[in-house]
Amino acid sequence: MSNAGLRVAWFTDSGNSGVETLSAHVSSLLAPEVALYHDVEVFTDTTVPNNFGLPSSHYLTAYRQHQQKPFDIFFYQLEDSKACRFVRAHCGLIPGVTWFHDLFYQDLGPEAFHTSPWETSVAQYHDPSVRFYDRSKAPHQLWPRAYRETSISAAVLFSSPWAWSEYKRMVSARVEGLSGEHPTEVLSIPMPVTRRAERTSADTLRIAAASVVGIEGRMHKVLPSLRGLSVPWKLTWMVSAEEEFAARSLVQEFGVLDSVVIRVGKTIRNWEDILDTTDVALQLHVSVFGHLAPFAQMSLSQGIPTVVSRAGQGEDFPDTSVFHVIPGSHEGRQVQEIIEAVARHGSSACGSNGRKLVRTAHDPATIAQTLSSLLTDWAPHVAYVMDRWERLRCRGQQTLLNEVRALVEQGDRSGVGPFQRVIQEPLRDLGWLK
Amino acid sequence: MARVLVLGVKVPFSHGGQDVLVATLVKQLRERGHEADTVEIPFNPLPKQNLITQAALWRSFDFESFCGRKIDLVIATKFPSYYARHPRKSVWLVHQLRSIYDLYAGQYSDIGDDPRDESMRRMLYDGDTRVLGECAYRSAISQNVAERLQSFNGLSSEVLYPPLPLGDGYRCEPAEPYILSVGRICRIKRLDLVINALATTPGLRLKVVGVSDEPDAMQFFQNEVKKHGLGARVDFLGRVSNADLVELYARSMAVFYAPYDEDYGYVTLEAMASSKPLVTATDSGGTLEFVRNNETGFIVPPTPEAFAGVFNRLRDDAALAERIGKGGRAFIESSGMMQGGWDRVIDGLLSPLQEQRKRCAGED
Repeated sequence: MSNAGLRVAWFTDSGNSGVETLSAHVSSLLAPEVALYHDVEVFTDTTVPNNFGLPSSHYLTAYRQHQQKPFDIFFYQLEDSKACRFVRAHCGLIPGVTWFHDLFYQDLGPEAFHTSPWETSVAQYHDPSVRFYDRSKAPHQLWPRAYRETSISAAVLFSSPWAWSEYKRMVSARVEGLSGEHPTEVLSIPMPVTRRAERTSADTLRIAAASVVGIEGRMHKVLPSLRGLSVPWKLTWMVSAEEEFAARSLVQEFGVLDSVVIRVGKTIRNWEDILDTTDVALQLHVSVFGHLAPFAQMSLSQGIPTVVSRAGQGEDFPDTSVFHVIPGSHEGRQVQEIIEAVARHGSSACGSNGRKLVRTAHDPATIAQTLSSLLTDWAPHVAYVMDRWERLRCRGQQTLLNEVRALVEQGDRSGVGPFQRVIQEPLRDLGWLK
Repeated sequence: MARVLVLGVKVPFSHGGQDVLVATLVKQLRERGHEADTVEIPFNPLPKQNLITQAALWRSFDFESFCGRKIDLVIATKFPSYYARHPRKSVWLVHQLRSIYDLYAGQYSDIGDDPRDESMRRMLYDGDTRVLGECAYRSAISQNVAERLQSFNGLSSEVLYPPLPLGDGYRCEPAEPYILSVGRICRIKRLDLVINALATTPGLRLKVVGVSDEPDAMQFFQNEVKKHGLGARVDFLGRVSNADLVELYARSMAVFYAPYDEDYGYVTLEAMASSKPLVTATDSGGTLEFVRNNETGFIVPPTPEAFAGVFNRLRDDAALAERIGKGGRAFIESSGMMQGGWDRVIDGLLSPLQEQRKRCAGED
């Protein structure tokens, strides 16, 4: 534990709910490493006192701990998962550094925040004369993109350059963030991946895929192309439980039922198991929703030839490390040719380069060092933003008390008013009115 | 004998577990020779700024004496009654304002990220920690409630399960083909689970006891009934007398009770005391402290399909219903939840008086 480091409140899903999230994966690899540079306390939505080997608390207690012993940075990880909803909630209560694993969401997040007046709050942050939102009106929501979450962050990180560029293209121009004259710091930082031992070889070519069933998963192109392979092959296709039936139907439709194993449970752990007996990995997902997860990086880390789409996030990988396929009418042919080549020549140069790429760019210790350094660099700006946001909250408290007063005094004609007569003293006693 | 005030929070035209708890506690105190009475202030959580007013109102009263009569002890129950000031304040915690704690950022909370809302959350959170911290004795009605208090406010409490309100008054009669639901009618009680289940449980009716205390909740559930064409099979009975309630339990085939993360739930114990199978959900909180799946009741995932599965089994297998019902009754008889359980509750709640007497004796 560092003595000279910052005090960091690390908000993340704990992974204890049974739902595997990228946040929990990243935290398991990075939080202990960052704790070598800074004092890290983990905040989850459970009361488990220790997560990732670090002291942990329930997220609703964070403000009290902050009052007693201030944190320098609130660090949030966000993704499109219900398990991470509480992080979406809290990042709007105390601003900090937010790491986005997803820029797009399937819903507006916590129900009580569907009518969040965050745009007014940001305007008030910059200009104290802006009035609080009229409670009788429902604010307009920009959804399902992370407009709210990005605009109330002091600094922003993305786990893919693709999401970063999408943010710049679609979000940043439409919202004013908290940084004011200084543009919000926005960076891409790689997803950490652990190293695994290399695999043994087999007579049958073992292929693995982690795509969704829908059109953006491209399996409707992959399955017919595999049917034409000249070598014996076996495909393990990892899908979520909700997609199992649809995946089986698709496999049946293309007549490859005997050669395909459907692995139910789309998780990092399952993918690790599958990769232990894989010769070629396919990650052709091109959807703009959600993250590819580190599935491609994981196969690269083992030196497994990996095929990705030259679209969406797949574009981020260099040609020397992966096999790129252009989505379209010749897509199936391209996949077939790549797999045939791998069958003939074994682990190619791409496999070796891919392993090097992951070991340099996705190494947890290296990423943790970079992240720790960024947090140190950003700390003064974050402190400024937090202080100013707290002043806005205090104005909120005063306005709330004024609203209470107005409600209590409604209809009172005595002059003194029941607020002074009855309520003021207990409010002072409780420390709510100075 | 002591002069004791039990502090209740009354939502006009509503009747729930807290009302029963306050009334039975006062009765039990009186039966033991104490001078006991109830103080209730009407509770209106809308608009939400009222939550601050209500806490301050409770804080504003001087409960040490009324009309020159000294009050020896006050017993607070739920938010915001524990904001009352008294040097000997016991709390038998029914629940806090859950929308700022365990329900925060979920569908049952209306506290958002507006700086005014966040200020309100912090004020009440800090206020709770302070005013519950000043209690001379702290207890909670269930392990679930005690754990929330410990987790969020760092305050320990003793668990005192409320004994059955009608003591030994429950009985069992031959089952008629209906499912019974008892409790306030509000979204968190999830009556829609049993209504939707009824659509695939032919031959069964649903009887609903309770009144609504939430805007539009009754309309929502009635729409669910209409949607499935169940109008002829569902009876909303409103509030019923104790005698009718006992009768309804006694003749039911099974009892549905599956709120989201319930604090405690009298209904669970009343069903067991009536030797009827209680069907609850895996996320129903306090009820799970008593129900053992397939022994004293059924615990299923919170889906209409899962509930329908159990109801159909019970409809087709009367012996199963009888076996589970007997299991529940046996649990109740051995658990101290009948009349005898009150001694421990009263001893705990009045313990600050014992402490005071000991101190006085020491000074003498």
